[in-house]
Amino acid sequence: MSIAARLQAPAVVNRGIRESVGSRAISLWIPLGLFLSFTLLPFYWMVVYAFRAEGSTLPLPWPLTLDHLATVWNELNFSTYFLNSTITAVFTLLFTVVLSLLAGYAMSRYEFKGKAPFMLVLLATQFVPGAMLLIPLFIIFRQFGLIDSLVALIIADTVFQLPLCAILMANFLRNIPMELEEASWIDGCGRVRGFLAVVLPLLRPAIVAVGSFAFIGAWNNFLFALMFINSNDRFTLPVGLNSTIGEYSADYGALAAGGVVAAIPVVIVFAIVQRFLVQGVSAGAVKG
Amino acid sequence: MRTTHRALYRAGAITAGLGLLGGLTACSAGGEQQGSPDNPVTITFWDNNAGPDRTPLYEELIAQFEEENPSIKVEYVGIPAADAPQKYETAVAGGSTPDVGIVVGWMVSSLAAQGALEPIEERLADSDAKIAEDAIKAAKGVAFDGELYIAPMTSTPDTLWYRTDLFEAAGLEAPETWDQFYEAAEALTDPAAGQFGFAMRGGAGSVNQLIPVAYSCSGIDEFFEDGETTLNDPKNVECIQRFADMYNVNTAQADVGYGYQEMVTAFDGGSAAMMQHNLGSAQNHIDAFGEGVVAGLPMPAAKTAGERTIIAPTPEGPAMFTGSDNPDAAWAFTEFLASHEANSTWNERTGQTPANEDARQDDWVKENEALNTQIEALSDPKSTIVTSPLYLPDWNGILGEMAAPFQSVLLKDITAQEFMDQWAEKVNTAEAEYREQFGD
Repeated sequence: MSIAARLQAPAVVNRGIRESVGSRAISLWIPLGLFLSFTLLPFYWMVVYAFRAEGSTLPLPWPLTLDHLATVWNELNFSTYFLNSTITAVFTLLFTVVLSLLAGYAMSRYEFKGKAPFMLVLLATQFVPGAMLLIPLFIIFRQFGLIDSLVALIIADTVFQLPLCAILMANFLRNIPMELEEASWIDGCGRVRGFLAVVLPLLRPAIVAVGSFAFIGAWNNFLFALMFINSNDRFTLPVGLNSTIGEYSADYGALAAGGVVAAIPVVIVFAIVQRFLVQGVSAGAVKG
Repeated sequence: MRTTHRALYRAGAITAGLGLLGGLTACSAGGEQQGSPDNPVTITFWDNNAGPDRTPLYEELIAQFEEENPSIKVEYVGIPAADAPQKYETAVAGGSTPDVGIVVGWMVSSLAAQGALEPIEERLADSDAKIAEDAIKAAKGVAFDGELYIAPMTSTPDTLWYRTDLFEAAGLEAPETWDQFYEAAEALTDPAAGQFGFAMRGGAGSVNQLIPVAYSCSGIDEFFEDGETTLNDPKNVECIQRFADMYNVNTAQADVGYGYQEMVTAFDGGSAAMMQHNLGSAQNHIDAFGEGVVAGLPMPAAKTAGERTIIAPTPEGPAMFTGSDNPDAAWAFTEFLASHEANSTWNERTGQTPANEDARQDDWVKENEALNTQIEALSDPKSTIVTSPLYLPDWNGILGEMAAPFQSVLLKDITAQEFMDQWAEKVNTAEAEYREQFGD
């Protein structure tokens, strides 16, 4: 290489880096930044209104106050709503995970007549809006004396989460080689023990994904909580949040503070499980 | 041995199940329970508009009622306003209604036609609560069979709110007629300064407000003529076209999407000089501007000030549900809400028109100018009252369906004539179906 060419080489490299940075900014960082700002702006609004003192118009949570939080927690019954939401979401998560493990195992490991139509029906249930089933569910729950009980919410939420979660779990189980289970049987394990000892630990990302869907679905469900519950002391957070908005007025401070209370557990759950969640969703989505 | 255990478990499970069923049956059977101060009977009360204003007010009234009636306990259930119709309909279809619930006029027919509401005229006749004749008439007018199903607490006539300070500064007269209204809207519009003459409700709930606009402007005095609606009468169409033409000229561009909250925020935020709503938003205006800056008038007159055509305000009040196990306790609470003291407290706090005759004579009513003007206009012999068909079970659905076409009128995709024709066709169909089902 000539001296002149050697001198020009770094400039070419620099131009390449500059172009690469520029194109990356256009194709990645700017769209991502815009997307993030659209996503985070409502959260910012919520935090500002939740922690800003009444009367302030600053675009910052200043003067800082915890009054709105104290109001929703103590006066607007959010402590009870929070407890009800937690009970509903945790039990929905447990039932959904256990039942989707059983259903997913059956669908992935066994061949039975009508398996394909059965899975299609499971998938088709996802197209039925909850509102359509309100009255039949209401009548069933009433006959069992479950209206105005969190049990009704747990059952309804589990039933609605289960089909998709079972399909996800079945797809994930198909990715675990059957030979692993068979090896455990040769070592003396039965089907149940082999599943618990060998398969279950490998299913951790799937369990986290399914559990997260179930938890968040139940945590955010407004319709069932409003329709199947008839006492203020058994309502859940989404109903409580809606009650801060009257026909003619809204308490924005309370609404935002309630939003913070409702969002915190979901944010924490996602922060903890997001690594497994991505693995679980992508693994479950590969095979159909 | 194993079999014996299994049988025992089965027997235990069956016994427990029967016990549970027995317990449930015991709770729901046996007729009216008699409460005592030591063992009060509990009734459930559904508030159809829970929120920061109404919930504390009802809690206060319930505490007062329970103090006066120690043998009855009222369990308050607050339902967000937007979801109340669905909650009521689901509860009726599922057979699990409250003892008492606040029902707004347009829901009465639908619930009563399903046999969910108890007629209360006889009970009210024996009561001390004196409800104004116009309120009783309006409450009966919303029922499919002309019965009285709600003890009217209040009504909310449409009101034209306007900024007196802006009107005075511009040397304008109060908008008593539609010509004065349009003149003021024009004069008070300055888009460069972010100031518009009118805050228009172009989004959710817009069509409810168009009926008073059309009839007060056209002066047409009947909603139906020979079984056909007058909605698409040329005079009404002309009025709606003129009203819609204000959009994006004397209103902000964003008004096409405004629901109630956005419209009030625009008006109370100072960017509009006038706004159409009802007395329910009075407190918001006082909170935003203080006393005396905002005034409210009935909807403007067609031609001559004082000669108004008013759409009968929608009544609202407690209804007793037929599924109640404790009708006497339910009536006691209903009667309490209709009483002078409770009705006065409720309406003073919400800034609305009391239905109780004695409450209408209270000092606070006389001091509330907007409210007084409305009461005077309603009882003025020069006023013509037009009743919209709130009794139609499909009425509210039709109003909801017409919201998007009205946005098309604002955006000039269709004309007011096309819009009113569509609307009229739906109303005529619903009315014909109603007549077929319930007769004349």
